[in-house]
Amino acid sequence: MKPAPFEYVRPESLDELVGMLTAGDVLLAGGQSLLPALSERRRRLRRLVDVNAVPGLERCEAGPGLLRAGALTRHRDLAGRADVRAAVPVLAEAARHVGHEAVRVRGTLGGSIANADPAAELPGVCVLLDAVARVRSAAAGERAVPVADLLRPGGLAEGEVITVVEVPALRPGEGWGFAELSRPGAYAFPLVTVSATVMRGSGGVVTGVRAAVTGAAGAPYALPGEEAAGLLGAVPSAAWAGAVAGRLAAAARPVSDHYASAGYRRRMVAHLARRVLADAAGRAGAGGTP
Amino acid sequence: MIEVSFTVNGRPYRIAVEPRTLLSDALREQCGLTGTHAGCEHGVCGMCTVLDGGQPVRSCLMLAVQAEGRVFTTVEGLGAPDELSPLQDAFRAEHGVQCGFCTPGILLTLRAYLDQHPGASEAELREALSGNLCRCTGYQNIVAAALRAAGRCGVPEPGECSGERGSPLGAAAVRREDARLLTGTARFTDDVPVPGAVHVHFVRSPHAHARITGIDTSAARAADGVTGVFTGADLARWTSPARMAPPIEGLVPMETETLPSGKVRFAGDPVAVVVAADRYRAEDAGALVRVEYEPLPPVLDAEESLAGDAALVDDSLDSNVVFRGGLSSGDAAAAFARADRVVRTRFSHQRMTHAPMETRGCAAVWDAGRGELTVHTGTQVPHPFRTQLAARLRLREDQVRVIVPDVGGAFGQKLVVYREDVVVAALAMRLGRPVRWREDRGENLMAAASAREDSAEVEAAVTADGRILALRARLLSDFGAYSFFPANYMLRVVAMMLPGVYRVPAYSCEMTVVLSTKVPAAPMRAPMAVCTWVTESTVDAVARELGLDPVEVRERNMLREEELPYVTASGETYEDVTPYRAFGAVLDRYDYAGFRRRQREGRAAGVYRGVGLACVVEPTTYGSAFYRSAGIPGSGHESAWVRIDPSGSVAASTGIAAAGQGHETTLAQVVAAGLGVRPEDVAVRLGDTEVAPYGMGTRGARSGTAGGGTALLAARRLKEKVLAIAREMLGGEDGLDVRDGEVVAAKEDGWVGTGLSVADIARTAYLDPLSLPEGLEPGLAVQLAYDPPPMTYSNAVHLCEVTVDPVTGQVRIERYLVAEDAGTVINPAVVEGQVHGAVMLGAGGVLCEGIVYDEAGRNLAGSFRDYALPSVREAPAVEVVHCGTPSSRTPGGMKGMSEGGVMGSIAAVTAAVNDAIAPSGVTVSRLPVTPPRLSDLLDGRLPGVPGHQDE
Repeated sequence: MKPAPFEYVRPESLDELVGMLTAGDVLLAGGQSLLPALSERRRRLRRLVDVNAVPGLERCEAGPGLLRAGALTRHRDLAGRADVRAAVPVLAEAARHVGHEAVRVRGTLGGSIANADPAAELPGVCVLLDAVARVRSAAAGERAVPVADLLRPGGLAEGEVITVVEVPALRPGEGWGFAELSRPGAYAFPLVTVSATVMRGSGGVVTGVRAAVTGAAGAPYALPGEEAAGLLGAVPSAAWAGAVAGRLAAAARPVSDHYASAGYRRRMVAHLARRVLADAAGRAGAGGTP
Repeated sequence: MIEVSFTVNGRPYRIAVEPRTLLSDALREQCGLTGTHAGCEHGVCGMCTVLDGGQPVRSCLMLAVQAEGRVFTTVEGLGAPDELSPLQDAFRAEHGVQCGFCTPGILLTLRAYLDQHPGASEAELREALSGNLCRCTGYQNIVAAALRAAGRCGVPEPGECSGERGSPLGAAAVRREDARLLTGTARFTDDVPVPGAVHVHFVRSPHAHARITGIDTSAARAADGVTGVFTGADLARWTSPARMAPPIEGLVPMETETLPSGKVRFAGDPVAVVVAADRYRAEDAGALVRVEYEPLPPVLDAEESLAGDAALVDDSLDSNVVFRGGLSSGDAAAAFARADRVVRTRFSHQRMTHAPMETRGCAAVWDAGRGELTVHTGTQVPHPFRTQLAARLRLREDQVRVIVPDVGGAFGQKLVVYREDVVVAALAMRLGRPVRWREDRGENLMAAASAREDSAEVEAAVTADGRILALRARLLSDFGAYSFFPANYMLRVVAMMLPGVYRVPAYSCEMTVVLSTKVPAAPMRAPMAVCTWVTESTVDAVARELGLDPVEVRERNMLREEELPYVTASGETYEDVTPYRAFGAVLDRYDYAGFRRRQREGRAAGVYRGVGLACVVEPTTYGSAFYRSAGIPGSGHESAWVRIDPSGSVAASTGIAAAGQGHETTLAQVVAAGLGVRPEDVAVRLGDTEVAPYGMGTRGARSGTAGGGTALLAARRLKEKVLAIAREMLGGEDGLDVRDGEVVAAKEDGWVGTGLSVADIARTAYLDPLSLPEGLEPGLAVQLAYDPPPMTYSNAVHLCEVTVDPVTGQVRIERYLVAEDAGTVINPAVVEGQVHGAVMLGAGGVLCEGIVYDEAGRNLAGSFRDYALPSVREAPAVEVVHCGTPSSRTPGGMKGMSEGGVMGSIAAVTAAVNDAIAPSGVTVSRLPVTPPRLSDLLDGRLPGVPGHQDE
């Protein structure tokens, strides 16, 4: 199938972009999900606003304690850049799992968040790390919004543009893990992903644990803070990982469809979580994030 | 329109595009670079991959307007046919190409990857290629080619092959097709230039089953660029319906309108056709066609149809049952009465589809002055296609010419004259201008043809030591909405082959075929494929229930070579097959006892390994006598001509048509062997009905035997004439032969040149006919027809070892062995490629593929996101052992092959999974066994594995 007709504009500055947006406009970033939807005529639009010529949106800087990734940061850069991997290795690892190389060359972080697929890899890591998006609109100027809020229905308002995603770097010594179970076959879209970080203190006891899940609820979700608090102070073990995994699985609200049953998705949350927590605990140490 | 400037392969382009024009379309249609193929247009298949500044991108996922200022490389920029780059040459050397439709995208993906990762490992290369689909090769030789290009040779050694030393028969020659397929210079249907053509788009039903109460085409007709909009009523005036009414006992005659006028019978059924300036406009107008439907209940469950509880799919029939039949021999009742044990098994294979990488399509050109229609289309059967199309259009056959260009895979899907083909041809005649159609992927998955939704219930009467006394089977097939084939066609062969390689003294089988509101069924590579699964899995069940080893039960029941010829319980005569030898060949190569040890040790550690065995007898060739005896309409003959032109160049043709099998290469080898010339000196012309003689086309693994056999006979006969002329020219010398294009004479120290070449003979034959021996006609050309034996049987034994992850349900194929006896092998590399691809096709059905309908009958698998094809990550490395036993009944000793790999892998992979999960006590009997399904099935039944109760 071929796309239905639409108008096309390519603003060349952020101000021009934000100033021109009107109701119903759709932004084109990497296009790796949007183009199939247009070609299959699942999605019709009046005007397509190509943001790829807006300067600055591709800028991606790993500064002290923070990765500032422009909305047009390509998955390939997240997966391949040494500075990104050093600051947020869990994000780099997740980006490596997105699609295939040709998709990663075009696909963008901002687009992935705006697309808000409940199973996609990168939104889950943003939820894990409490990433914050800077969002601009003509009406409201700039605001900072937790990415988790943008992933909920209606999270990104009409006329709003994600400009940059601020992802806190892992703390020194914080360990991390990421795992994905994909649908079988070549498309290999994620069914379930789990990501986690672990901090350990003296004696190796857990002083901090975070985890996030995609593909098992209407939106990515994190291990609630109060639950994480109850998991501190222990030396990581299979039983400890199992306890965290159990809580993550209990929080799942999966659906059954022709890919997998709800029960399978829930079991896979627990299964992946055990592995991811063990990886994160294993990587955690006082000496940095190996 | 927007002007865009960019560079492709170093050349600047400036074109005007609409905002919505896909980059893939701009490259193909406006830059004329048709090497970039559109395989799905939703970003999954990887076929349209091009390089953008050296980085791979999917050109269907970019708009042409985004190309401004960019620098692209397409396959045409990698190398030319006479100047392949090392990467392209690696694909030719490793037989990494079959149909070649996926090849450009794979080459560009690899080009970018190897530039950045020279010397990449196999695992890295598999990962890099995992976003590129291929349906032919099983990925095996693609990986080999990638490794070669990366400077690593990890190529398994070829097995021994048959064939005389020095003969073109048996040589693993590189394929002559590959140079064009590797450089974007091949021409597939959508690449054929047809000046002035308008494009069609079919408006399809969203309902599984509904009465059409009205169609309003007025808005569509008024839309921009529209030539016309037509419906079933129009087509009924211009064309004849397809009538499927061969006189077969138990078969209900059926008729199919060119476009349905009264009701639709599956989601995807075409109800109207829009003709417009281009595909974009045709789809725009299609969205404006208003069809009013009165929904009817979908018919999705064959058992409901059998029980008479379902709605009627075809209103002109009394029931949804369109075929009932039976086979029996021996006294099954008595055998069951005296059996020590009756073992019962059930099987259910899901609906699949062929998913050729090139979808269907055609272009029709009507020459009103001459009254001649030319149709370009990728059919497997050009002459039968022409016969049927002419009849549907009420033309004489001589008014229709069918030209088959390069074909991007077929697998049985391109055997039929589809309704869409008839519509396109009729429109070309009515509108007086060329009309073309390229099916999109969604249509292909939802509306082309499907296969294999077969189920079986089997009872085996056995002795306590595992000897089979009798088999009883009840087979049921869901045929879908229409009869594109006689409804008994596929199931009849399943029933025929069910006894497999075993002595089955008594057998009875009931066959039932029912209609449903699903995509119509067609033969798909190994239409009988489930038979091996059913039989082999029943043998495994016998072993399980009696506490015997599966190998032991096979030993006890398997035919030995010395029992041949053997008439099976279904009346087939096996000869020149080697089931027991192939079984031994596989077990010799595999440490079976060692595996059982590893399996026990693994289980103790929570690692679940399994091994599956499958013994295959593959019916191939299907001569006319088979059709007659099986009550299936059809001829099995084939025709060929071979000619030597005055300069000595050789050309040949037969009625078969290639879709990636390499027929041009193998036929050249056969003709060269028969004539005594070099294969490279033989041109092969296929697929044009004005050039090729009338034959039955490519199907049923018949091309090597029927096509190759006929060509061999024609070449041999032509050689007799060459030798007769040579004898005359050499003064009556005897003991002559032709070798490498030279006439040679037998002397004491071997063959010695006579100074005469085939070119000399040809010159005489054409230009000096008075010098010919008395009674010989001028010229050097032979055309003949040949009807091969009713069946030639190949056989094979498959062994598959898997590991099952008991938690995720993921199955990994660890090892795959095939002992293949395909008789005289024309080209072992081609044969191995066929085995690899067939194994993957069967395994894909076991592990991931399937058409899924929801309860309303909507097809949920209308894209490659949802119809899951296996990738190179899942592809096994298949080890092929050749054990070529020539057929005593065919010219050259060839047997057919190419479908047996599917039969074997469905059985072997499933058996391996069942062996792995045996401690759970559950058995997989419904396919596919996707990871979620397997995990749900196991449901915590394996030690230490969580199930539902743990949630």
